[in-house]
Amino acid sequence: MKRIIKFSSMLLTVLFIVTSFSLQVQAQQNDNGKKYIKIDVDGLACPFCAYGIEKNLRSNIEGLENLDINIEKGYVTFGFPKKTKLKDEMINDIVKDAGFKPNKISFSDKPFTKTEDKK
Amino acid sequence: MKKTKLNFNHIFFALWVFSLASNSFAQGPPIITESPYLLGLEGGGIRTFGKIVSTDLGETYVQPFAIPYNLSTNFQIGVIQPFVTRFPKNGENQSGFGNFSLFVKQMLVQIDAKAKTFRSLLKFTQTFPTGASNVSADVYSSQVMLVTGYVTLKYGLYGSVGYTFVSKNLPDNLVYNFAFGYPLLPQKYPPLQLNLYLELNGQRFFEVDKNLLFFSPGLQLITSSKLLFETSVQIPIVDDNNILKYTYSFGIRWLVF
Repeated sequence: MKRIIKFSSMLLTVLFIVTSFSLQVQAQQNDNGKKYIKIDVDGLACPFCAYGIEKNLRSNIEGLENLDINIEKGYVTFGFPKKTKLKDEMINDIVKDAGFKPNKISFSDKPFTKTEDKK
Repeated sequence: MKKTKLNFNHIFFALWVFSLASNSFAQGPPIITESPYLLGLEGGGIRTFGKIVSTDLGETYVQPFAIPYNLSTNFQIGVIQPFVTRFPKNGENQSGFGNFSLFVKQMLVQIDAKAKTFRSLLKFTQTFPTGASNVSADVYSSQVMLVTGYVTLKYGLYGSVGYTFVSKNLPDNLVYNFAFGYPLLPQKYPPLQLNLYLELNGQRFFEVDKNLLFFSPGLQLITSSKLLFETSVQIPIVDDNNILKYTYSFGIRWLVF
């Protein structure tokens, strides 16, 4: 019986250490991970002319990934490294330079597109 | 008397072909009608738009190359150089470069809303008599054109009106176009679009009091953000000279900048 208790407490200790470590790593990953942005864009009325937005965003934002231009709903979302500092003014200029009118800009730690599309 | 009429028809035809080169090869999403968009494939690419013109005088093939380039979001410059080959019914085939054109476009109005836009711009085109004399008119021409368009995800309406001043006492002309565009595939990005266009393309030649009006149905296939194929037939509804049978056009637009 004593051996079982000893073994169980050892197992619990190991489990506690492993869980703590993985939580710590996860927290660290969140700090160094991605941020996501959603830009509502007016004037996105045809797919072929939206290329300007993609081109401008990719040439101005380092590390941009998972770019999604939703013509129907009129928004652009993408992920970028947290270390990249993006300001609303910069985003507005990029969208205007592409020939469109920027609207609401939202930031999040989670991706926008997939969660919204599932609803 | 008959000879005089034939000569006039030749001049009229040369003027029309020459106006094709300056009017019809730097437009936007509609196939023939000008577009107020200065974006995507209209912003900085190479465009070719081969056109076969069938008339009572013979066939003509016009192959222009247009290169538009955006200096800013609202301002575009461009050049057009056509190559013309004529296959006259009586006489030998003739070919050579047509007249060279420069154009500028300035956006005037842009009203954007969710998934729709209204835009209007002013276009100025200057054409120089640089072409071979056997395939192009030896005249300067200057054209001012107002272009408007209302585009939604479900349809597009485009219109343009322009006035062309022509040198050497040849008739000035009024150009007017209207286009209705309807997407046959769901709108998404990256684009895979198949668009149907129904267009009316007219031209009125002053002083000689002659009119041309075409009904132009066409199809446009956009396979990516950078490549577009299109084809169109122009059927004359009004042809005061009664020499035009039809025109058939096909072309590509390739975004390079």
